[in-house]
Amino acid sequence: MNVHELDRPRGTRRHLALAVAVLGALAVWTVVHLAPWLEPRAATLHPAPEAEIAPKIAFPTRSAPLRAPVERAPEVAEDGLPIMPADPSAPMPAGPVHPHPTTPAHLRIYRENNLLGALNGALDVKDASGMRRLLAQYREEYPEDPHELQAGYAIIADCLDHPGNASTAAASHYYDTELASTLRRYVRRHCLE
Amino acid sequence: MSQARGHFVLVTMFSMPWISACSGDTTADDASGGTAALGGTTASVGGSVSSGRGGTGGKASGTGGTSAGGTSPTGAAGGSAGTAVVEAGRGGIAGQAAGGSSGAGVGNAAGSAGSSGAASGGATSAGAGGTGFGGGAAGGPPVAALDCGKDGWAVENHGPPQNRVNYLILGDGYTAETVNTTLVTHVNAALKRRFETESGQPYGRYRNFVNICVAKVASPNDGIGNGPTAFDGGNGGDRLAKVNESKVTQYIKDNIPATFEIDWKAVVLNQSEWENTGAVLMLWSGGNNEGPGAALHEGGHGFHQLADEYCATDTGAGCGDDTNGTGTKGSESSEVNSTGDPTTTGGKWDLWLGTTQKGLNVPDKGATGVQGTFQGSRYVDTGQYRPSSNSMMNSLFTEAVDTSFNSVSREQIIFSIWRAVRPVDSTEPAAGTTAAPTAVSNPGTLKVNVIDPAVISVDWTVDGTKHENAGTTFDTSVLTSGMHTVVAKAYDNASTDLVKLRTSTCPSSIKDKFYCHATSWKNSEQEVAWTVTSP
Repeated sequence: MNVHELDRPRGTRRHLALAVAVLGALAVWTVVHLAPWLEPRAATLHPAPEAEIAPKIAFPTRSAPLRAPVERAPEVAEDGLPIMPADPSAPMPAGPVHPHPTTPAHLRIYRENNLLGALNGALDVKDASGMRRLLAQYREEYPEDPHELQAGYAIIADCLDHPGNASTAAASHYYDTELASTLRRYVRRHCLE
Repeated sequence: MSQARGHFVLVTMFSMPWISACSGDTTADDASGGTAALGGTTASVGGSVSSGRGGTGGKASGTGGTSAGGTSPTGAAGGSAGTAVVEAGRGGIAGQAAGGSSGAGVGNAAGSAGSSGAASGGATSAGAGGTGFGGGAAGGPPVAALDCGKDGWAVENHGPPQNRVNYLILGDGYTAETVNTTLVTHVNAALKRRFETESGQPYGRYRNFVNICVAKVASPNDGIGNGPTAFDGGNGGDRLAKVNESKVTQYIKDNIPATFEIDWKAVVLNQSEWENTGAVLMLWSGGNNEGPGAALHEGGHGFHQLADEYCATDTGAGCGDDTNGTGTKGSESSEVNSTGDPTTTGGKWDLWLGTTQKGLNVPDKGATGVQGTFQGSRYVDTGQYRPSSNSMMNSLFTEAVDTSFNSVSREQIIFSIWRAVRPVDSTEPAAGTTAAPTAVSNPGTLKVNVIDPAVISVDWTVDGTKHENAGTTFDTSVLTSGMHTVVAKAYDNASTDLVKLRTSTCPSSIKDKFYCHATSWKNSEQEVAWTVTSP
């Protein structure tokens, strides 16, 4: 700022201040939005509309309403690596981040996924005894069964082992009533067709 | 969201002793090959995408379907309807196909006109006489409207639910107003990533194999954490999202039509927090900038039983380099994309070792690069190995091509899809099996309606003579008088750059122990047969 600027009318100074503020905001916006593009990238044979190499961190933005504060998991994993912040407005840790901590809750989910994958594999090769063995394990470890899959696997195993009116009737009932089950297609295929 | 896809189909000429003398020489126009419409209907926000399928023939012209997205603010109307009509030429190659599509979407925001699809195909040679084969890139029947229930938005409708992977997405934390605005934005962003980017592949290639219903469930409050919502969505701790699964199940029972046999189900939450869950019921935060990637990654867990490929102390390439077959051995798990054996991969991806993954959208751009045994996976730094330096199951952020599903994961996803569906939707006239062909008399045309002619090729065998990739129709008028056996084999034309394990057997390390999905590859091939009596 120089002497001449001090002599300007207040309105002009306000305009100047506004212009400086706008330019400042623009500069900040430019740095924030262009910074990722200024990072070194792997050479490519052709210009690519999609980035070639993913940075190890994300730049989440908020587009849904704020919600009330809730208890958060620690922001740093046991191994010392930061965890992706739950709050997208939180500052991003420098360097790589874990997408999430690996907790007993995560491992329990993945264990269930694996059990279901194995059950589906046994179903695909029509191994009823294998299905029953895995189903017993599934029932023991995951008794809650909110998606009502266990009855479905049992019915399919029955259809494979003991085809007949009883298994067909059970299958029909399951197919007609358990509309949320991801097993209906296989109940139809193995029991009702 | 718009979609315009083009496909090229070549119809090959063969020497066929069973064909009667040709009476119709091809014209110059015929010889240049016809064009036909394919995938004609699309709609923008709030509309639906349907598969419009025209045909190809010796001389064919077609127009893609056009559509308008939903226009009703109440969501009661809208959707799309497109037609694609193709007239086939006779003489050279006798393709005859009429296709088209219509899809009823429940719209909300105003949609703009959809784009028309276009494809070319039907190449032939001038004056050489007809072969009887045609309809290369289509000829399928119109796609019936997909019933998604009273709150439903049929966002992807590609065919009969009984022979499609059916994906149900429920919204939570959206009001009666924002189900038609914010929810649509969140869903469209996720599906654009899934179907239109390299990092979403192979879903893009198999898009016509998947129907998607979105349930616009209205909550009393807008946003998770601002009061009660339809499914009590919220923070499940440890970056997990949670919902009341019993409420989800009850909602589905009460509202989703029985015809929609659900294969995958998810809830999108109206929040920006980084909280997602890859379980049977997949959950993702729709408002997070990386939410679309999370939906892919968590679906990898919940729908395809894929493992996380990051290690204990880093992510992506930072986890470790390719060990080139060396390293400490660790335990084996049922997930196909992590192994404890850096030398053999336990048979999980030994076929991929040393290969470089090609891009599906743009091959030269590549994807996850070299497939090897990279140190560190499944939350540990040693004793577990991953197939690629980075991947969708590792550092999922951004749309970078190195965050694509690697070759092993893509193969698993394809196997998962083939668990649910078969190549052939229907045949005209109804066909039998090779063991028991259906007898038909002078049918005119035999037609095999496949899920997607761009993905599924059809070989025809007529009286023992095989004609590879010869289109979806066969004109029986070219047959000599008498009885003929005609077999059509429909199969996934994925190259070995996409599927290498073609034995329909489990990898050695998980065979008879954990089972697998590789056994489903056999479902990607289907034969139908007729015994044709020609006058």
